[in-house]
Amino acid sequence: MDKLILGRYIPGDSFVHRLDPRTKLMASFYYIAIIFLANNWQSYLLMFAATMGMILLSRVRIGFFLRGVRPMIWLILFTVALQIFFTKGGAVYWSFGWLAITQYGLTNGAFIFMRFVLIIFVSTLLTLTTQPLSLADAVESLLKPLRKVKVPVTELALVLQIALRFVPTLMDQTTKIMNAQRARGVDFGTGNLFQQMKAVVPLLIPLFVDSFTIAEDLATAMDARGYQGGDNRTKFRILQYHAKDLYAALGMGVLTVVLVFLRQ
Amino acid sequence: MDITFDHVSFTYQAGTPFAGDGLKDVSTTIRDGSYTAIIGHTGSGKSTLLQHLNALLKPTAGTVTIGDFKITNETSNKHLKPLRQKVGMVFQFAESQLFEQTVAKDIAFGPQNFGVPEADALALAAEMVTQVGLPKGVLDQSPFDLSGGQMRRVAIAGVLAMQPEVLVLDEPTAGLDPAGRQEMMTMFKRLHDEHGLTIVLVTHQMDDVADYADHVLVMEHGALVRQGSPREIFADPDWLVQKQLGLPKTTRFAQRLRQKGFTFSPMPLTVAELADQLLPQIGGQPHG
Repeated sequence: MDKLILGRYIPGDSFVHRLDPRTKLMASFYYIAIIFLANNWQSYLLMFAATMGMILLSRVRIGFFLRGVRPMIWLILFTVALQIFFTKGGAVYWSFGWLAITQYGLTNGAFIFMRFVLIIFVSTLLTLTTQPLSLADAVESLLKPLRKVKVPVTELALVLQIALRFVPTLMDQTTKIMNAQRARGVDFGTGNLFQQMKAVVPLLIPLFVDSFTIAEDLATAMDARGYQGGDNRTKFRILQYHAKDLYAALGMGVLTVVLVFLRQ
Repeated sequence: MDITFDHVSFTYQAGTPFAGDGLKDVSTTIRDGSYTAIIGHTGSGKSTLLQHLNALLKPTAGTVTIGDFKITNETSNKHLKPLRQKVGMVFQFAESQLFEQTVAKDIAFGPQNFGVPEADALALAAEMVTQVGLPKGVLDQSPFDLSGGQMRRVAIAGVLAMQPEVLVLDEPTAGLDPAGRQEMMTMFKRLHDEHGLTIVLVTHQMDDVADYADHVLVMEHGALVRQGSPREIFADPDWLVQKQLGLPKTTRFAQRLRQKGFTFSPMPLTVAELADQLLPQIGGQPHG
C-alpha cells in the first residue's frame, strides 16, 4: 500500500501545479480521450512527446511516473501479449498451431503498450500535482450543471471531500490494527485462501466499528458547528481561471489539430 | 530475556520518494526484568522503536536481538510467531483492536493463535478479566457494549492472556480518568514485581516515569539522546526542558523549595522521597 504512487500528491510550484484543478481534470480526461485517436507511429510519437512535455512542465521527477506504472505492469504485459499472439494479418514472423506473431500483432501490441503507459502517466501527473481536496472542488464545480436535473451535487461533493480526507486516516488505522493483531498472533497473507479470509475478520470488524465511531463523531461536530447542508453555503476556496488555464486549453487544441493531421 | 539494539536504523518506505526517518543508529539494552520508560516528544521515534521489540518492523540497518532471536533486515516473517508470544504489545488506544462477539472470545483469541486449546484459552480469559479489574459478568458481553475504559482493559487482558515475558505499553493510560490511570499503572507494577515481567513503557507522564521506571531512554528525532536511571535523567532539568520534556511534579516542587532555601540530595522523584527529605528540614519527626 505504501508503494502506490497513483493518488498521491507531491507539493510543488510549477506551471502544472498552479493550473486551476478544473483545467487539469478536464485536460486529463480530454487527453486520455484523444490518445485513442492516435493510430500510427507518428501520432503516438506526438502524444509521447506531448506527455513528456507536460511532465517537464510539472518539474516532477520522471522516476515517480515509472513507479506509477509498476503496479500495473503485469496487466499491461498480459494485454500486450494477447494482442501480439491473437491479431491476424500482415507478414507472419512466427507461428505455432493457432498462435502466431504477425506484423499487425506487433504494431497493435506496441500501440496498446503506449496507450496504457501514456494514460497512466497522465493520470499520475494529475494526482501528483493536484491536492485531493482541490480535485474534489473541481469535481463539484464541474458537476454543477447537473443540479438542473436534481442531482444533489453539493452533497456528493461533501461525501467526496470527507472520503478523501479520511483515506489517510483509515489507512493509518488499518496499519495500526494490523500490527495490533499481528502482535496477537494473526498471520496476514499466509495459508490457504480460507485461512487468509479468516485472518481478515479481526482487521475488518474493528475498521468498520471505527468508521461508525468516526462518522458519528464527525456528524455531531458538524451539527455543533451549524452545518445544515444545502446549496446556500458560501465557499472558502474559490476556484478561478487564469491566463495559464487558457494557455493549457490552447495547447490541447493545437495538439488535437496536429494529431488529427498526423493520423491516417 | 534481554532485548539488545545494536546500531539500529530504520527508514520508513525505504527506497521510495516518500522515505522518512524512523530511527537513527540506536544502541541500547533493555534488561530482563527491568521497567524501562521511553520518553521523547511526539514524533521522536518512540513508537517506531517499540515496533522493533517484536519485529513488527525490521531494522533497515543494524541488529535487534530479542532473547534467542536475531532480527536483521533479512529476517523472514516465517518464524517470528514464538517471538510475538513472548513480547506482548499494548498499542495506543488498544480498544480499537477488539472484534469478537464476546469479551471472553476476544481475550482468548491471542492464546488460541499460539496454539492454546479453546477451553484453556477461555479459562485464561476468565482469569485475566479479574486481573485487569473487571467483573466476571463482562465475559459474555459484547466488547462494543462496554465503556471506553472497560474496552481498554479487555484489550490489555487480551495481551496479558498470551502470557508474555515482555510487556510493551504504548501510552496505556492515554484518555483514561485519573482513577483508571492509577489502577492500570498499579496493575502493571504488580505484574512487574510479582511475575517478573519486563515492562517497556512509552509515556508523556513524567510522574509515571519517576514512580515506576528503573531505566529511562530519551528519544529525539529518531535518535537515542540519553539513557540512564530516572534520577540521572531528571538531574538535569534544563536539558529536559530544552528537549521539550517536563519534570515530575514532585521534582518541580522540590526545585521551587530549593530556591527558598531548602536543600535536597538527591533530588526527590516521588512524593514519599520528598516527604522524607523535607521532614527533618522543617523539624518534624520521621514517621513509621
